[in-house]
Amino acid sequence: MAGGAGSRARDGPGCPGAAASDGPGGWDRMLQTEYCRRRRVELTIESHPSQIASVRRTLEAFAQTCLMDEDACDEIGLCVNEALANVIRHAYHGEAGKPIVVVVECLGHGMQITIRDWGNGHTPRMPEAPRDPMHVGGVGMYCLDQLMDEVRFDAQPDGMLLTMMRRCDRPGRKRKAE
Amino acid sequence: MSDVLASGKLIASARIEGDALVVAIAGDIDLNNSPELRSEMLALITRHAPRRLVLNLGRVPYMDSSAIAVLVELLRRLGKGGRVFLTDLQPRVKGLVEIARLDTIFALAASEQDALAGEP
Repeated sequence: MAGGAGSRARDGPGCPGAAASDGPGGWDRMLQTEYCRRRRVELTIESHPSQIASVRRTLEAFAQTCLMDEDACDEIGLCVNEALANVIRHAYHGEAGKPIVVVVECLGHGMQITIRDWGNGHTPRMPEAPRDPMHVGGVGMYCLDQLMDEVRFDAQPDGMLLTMMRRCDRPGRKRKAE
Repeated sequence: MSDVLASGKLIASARIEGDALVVAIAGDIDLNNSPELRSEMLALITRHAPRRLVLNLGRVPYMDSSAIAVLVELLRRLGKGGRVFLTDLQPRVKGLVEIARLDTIFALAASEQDALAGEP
């Protein structure tokens, strides 16, 4: 698994691109939504920081097929990045070679991401808003809290299952102009 | 002006301008390479003891919370009265800076020149 995320798409062909040719409510969008409703991708990686970027980029691309806008895709990628980094640093205490399974599904109304690890099973503490910017820790969990619609940690007998949901109709944060 | 470090894996260039250390960083920064950025930047700060640190992030398309942690540590290392300027922010990086509320502790500037000219 080293050197890149193993992945396989299930249940049908890949979605067409996110850009609908006949407008946001058109036939293309309906077809894409139907495709995405059945899409599921599973990625298995090892707990090493070098694995994070490939998973992030895969899920950003997947989010595009779920008709997320560009900012929303970026935010989903960031949350996946932060969640994986948290698993590597805290659940596995930086130990490399441990399994992490990421499953992403486009459910029609949103995108669900689950991240399963077999680490220490401790539930991360979600920081309170507004956060102290001089406090180094907790930025990742704060991003999950702010950018996802649902975040749930379910302790398993042998690790942790994180479930994150982002609604399709929630646009990305509008970045301030320069 | 003097070049103090011409190139590195993440540090594209570094130079001293007055009391400022001006560093251009290049590439995505995440948990995989942020420790390297940390060690290279801390070495520069230790060597040159600048009052101001100007970080040109124009060639950083992406960063995560581990990079944020490095930036906050750099600010602390500058000591009392030290300032960190972030310039040329790309949209994704700017978004994270806003989420993490770093715009309340760092000065954001459109360019290195604006940062060096004084308050952005």
